[in-house]
Order: sequence, then C-alpha cells, then structure tokens
Amino acid sequence: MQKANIQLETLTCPSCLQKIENAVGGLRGIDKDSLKVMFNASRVKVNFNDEESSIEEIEKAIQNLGYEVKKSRVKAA
Amino acid sequence: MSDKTPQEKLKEEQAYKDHVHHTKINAAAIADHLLGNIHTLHVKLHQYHWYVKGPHFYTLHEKFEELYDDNEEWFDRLAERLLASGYKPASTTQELIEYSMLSEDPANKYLKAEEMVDNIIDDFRETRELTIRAIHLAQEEENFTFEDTLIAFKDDLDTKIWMLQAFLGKEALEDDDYHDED
Repeated sequence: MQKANIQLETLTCPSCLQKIENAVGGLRGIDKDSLKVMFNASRVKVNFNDEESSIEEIEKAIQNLGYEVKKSRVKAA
Repeated sequence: MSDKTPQEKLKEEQAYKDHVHHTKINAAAIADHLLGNIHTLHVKLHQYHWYVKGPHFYTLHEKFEELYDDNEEWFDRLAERLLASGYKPASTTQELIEYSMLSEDPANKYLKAEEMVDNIIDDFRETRELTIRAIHLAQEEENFTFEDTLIAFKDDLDTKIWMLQAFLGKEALEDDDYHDED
C-alpha cells in the first residue's frame, strides 16, 4: 500500500470535491475508506495498491476533470 | 412590482445560483451546502437515535435527540440570516439533497454505537470544513453578521466534535484528516 498526498489548485465549489472523489474512487486499486478530498487545503489523500494503480493514474483521473495537480507526494503506508 | 410568474422567478434565481457556483463562489452558495448537510444530519441523527443499541443506549439515545434538536435550530438560524442578507436559501427537499455533501445508508442502522458516533464526528468535521470557507468568504464580502452566525456555528461544531471524540476516548483533533499534514 502507498499513501498519496496530492496538492491541487484551489477548489472553489464543493461540488468539485464530489467530482474528484468519484473519479479517484472509481479507479482500480484504491482504498476507498482512505480517500479524502480536503476542500480548504485543496488536497487529496488516498491510499492505493501500487500493483494495481499508480500515482500517475490517479493524477490523470483528476486532470481529466480539468483540475491542475500542483505536486504530489507518495510514501509507503 | 414585476409581474413574473413564480416559475419565471425561480428560473432567474437558478441561473444566478448556477453562475455563482461555477464562477465566483460566495458565502451564501456555500451556505446552501451547509443547509443540505444539516438536512441529511436531521434524518441521520434520527436514524441513530432510533436504532442505537448496547450498554450506551440510554446515553446515546438521549444525546442524538439533543443533537438533532440543535441541528434543527441551526437550519433555521442560518437560513434566516441568509434571508436577512438578501439571499435565497434552498427550501425544498430536492434542492437540499442535491446540495448535501454527506451520505447516508439504511444499513447504518446496524452500526455499533461507537461507529455511529464516529460517523457523526466525520459529518460534523466535513460540515465544519465548509463552514470555515464560508466564514472567509463572508469576511471578504463584508457580510459581518453572517460571518458572526457562521463563527457561532463553527464554535458549536468544535464543542460537539470535542465531546463526541472524548466519548470515544480520543482527543478533539485526533484522527482528523483536515488537521493532519501527512
């Protein structure tokens, strides 16, 4: 399991939060219980299985919605 | 006076709200989400009030009732504050469901008492997160009375979260993703 912490551009509307949650939560290898999109910090925290998914895949799912990923950190969970 | 029909007025209002939500969000738009959350909590706190089981039954049955009563008061207080500031808060079940950021589940009636408390803490924290943003926006908009009401709401959530956490044997900010940098 890997733990990702992804910094996004400022999220303006609470519905952005739900869109991101749905997109990331729908990926393979995601630990849904760990998934948290933080509105004020504009950050996504999620644990994922690195045999099934990757940080690139998670970033891509977010970027496909039109949100800019500023930086991300991954460490062993 | 305009002679628009209620439907025409609603259409104008919806177009305006849509615009605010997707361009420059304001405190009132966030407050619609707060009302949505409060609406979901109204139902969920009843669910837990009715279905809680175990040695904590008497304590929690009563506590959940107290929480939904307080919750109900905030629903009215926030909406009336919005009206006094010239905004139009959501006022139908359908709108409130759409605005709510919280989830519920009929299966939750089978949760353990501690899990119910933990779930309410999560919902209060998510609501507090939105409230913090609304406070900042109300400040920028120089809507000080609304800011004041929002701060009082946050104060109340802070206290409730602390006490529910204490019930679970935890510190106020323990396990709070919004405060944890990792």
